[in-house]
Amino acid sequence: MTLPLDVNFQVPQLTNHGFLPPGIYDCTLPELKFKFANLSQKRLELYVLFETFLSGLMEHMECIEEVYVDGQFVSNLEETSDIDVLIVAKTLSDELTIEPFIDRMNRVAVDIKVAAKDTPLCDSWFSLYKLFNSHKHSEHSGKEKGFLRMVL
Amino acid sequence: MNSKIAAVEQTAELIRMFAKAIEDTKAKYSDNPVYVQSAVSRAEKQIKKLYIDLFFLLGLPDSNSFEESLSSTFVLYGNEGGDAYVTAKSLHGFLNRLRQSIRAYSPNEELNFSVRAASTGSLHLSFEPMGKDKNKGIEALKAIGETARKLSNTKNLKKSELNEFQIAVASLMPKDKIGIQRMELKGNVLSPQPLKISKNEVKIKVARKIRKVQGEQFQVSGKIVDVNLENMSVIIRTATGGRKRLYFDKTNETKAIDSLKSNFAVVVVAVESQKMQIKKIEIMPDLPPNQN
Repeated sequence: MTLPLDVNFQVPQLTNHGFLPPGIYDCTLPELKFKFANLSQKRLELYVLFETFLSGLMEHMECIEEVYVDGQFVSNLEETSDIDVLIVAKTLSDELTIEPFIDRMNRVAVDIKVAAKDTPLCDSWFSLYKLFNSHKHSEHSGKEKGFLRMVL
Repeated sequence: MNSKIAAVEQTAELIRMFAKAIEDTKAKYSDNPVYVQSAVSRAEKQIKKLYIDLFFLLGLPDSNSFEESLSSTFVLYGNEGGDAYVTAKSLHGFLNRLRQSIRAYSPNEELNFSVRAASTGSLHLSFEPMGKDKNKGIEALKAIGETARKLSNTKNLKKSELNEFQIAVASLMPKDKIGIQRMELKGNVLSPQPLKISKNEVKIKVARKIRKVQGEQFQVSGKIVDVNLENMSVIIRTATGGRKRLYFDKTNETKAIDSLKSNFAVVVVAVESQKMQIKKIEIMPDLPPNQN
């Protein structure tokens, strides 16, 4: 496998659990592809969907503060059904502006949440992302894990 | 085991967190109702997902298991479809109308019920008869359910042709003005006196493949947890927690099937696997609770 030369790797090694250590890590699109999309064909398909989604989202760039990526995609699990994405809008009205675009997306493969920054709901999404999914990874329940902030 | 308890606690904490976020959002952005509606809707969907996780962790396959364990459950859907929550106002209206219906059924004696509720978007209200005459309470719920079904299938309903009880039940049924779009009644103990059924009396025909086994005898055992008399099917929960839906031949005695639901554990033995036909149904005493 050829290493992409334009990537400044910032994402740390995965822990023994196969997930990121607790924290939020900046990640470029090429690094996301290199580290997480090449593990299986399904992951590659998910990555392509996510890339398409991001390029569409760029039309609303003025509304967006940050984009976070989480879920099983950000792990070493070969089987993963979707990518969890949190879009933090700059303001409440920005959130409402991009919502129709989000609603048009295929949410089966890209599970998208959107929230304006510094709102109670945004804080709740962060809390959710920090923790292992207690349903799917109950053996790690109560423990924290990391997730990614996309460098747009 | 500890990790499972931790997972339950964690999921419950996340549900509380999102519920608090809803309250905080409503209070903080009361001047922006469009945003509040949008944010609350998304938070409620997440709460619904978390509830499903919670049910899973508690060993319940989905929220339907809640009502399976209870005697009679009304499932209420809000005005905007399955995801919409039932408002306090519409719930108040529903309970008032239910009370009127019960009074119309039994005007001379007060029937009491305890209520348990669960919500994963739709609201599940389960009523357990209380007091000395529990059977009367069960009969009242059964009569309400049957009358509601009958009225909902009647075209050109005329109030002048209804008796007082039917009018009360008609008022209970969903209308836009009380904010409930849809209502279902799922009852498990609607037949208080079990019928006596001898072995082989009920013949079951399986209309769908249960398991691809050829030339082999196999058996499905477990407790019947739901019976759908409309499509004549029955769901059996096996000892391992799985579920199987079997379809009855429509010529069967429906009352007998109905009484199976809450009063017996059954062992179904299939002997012709290619045709998937169950020839014999053995009725056994109820399973001990730890085997359900």
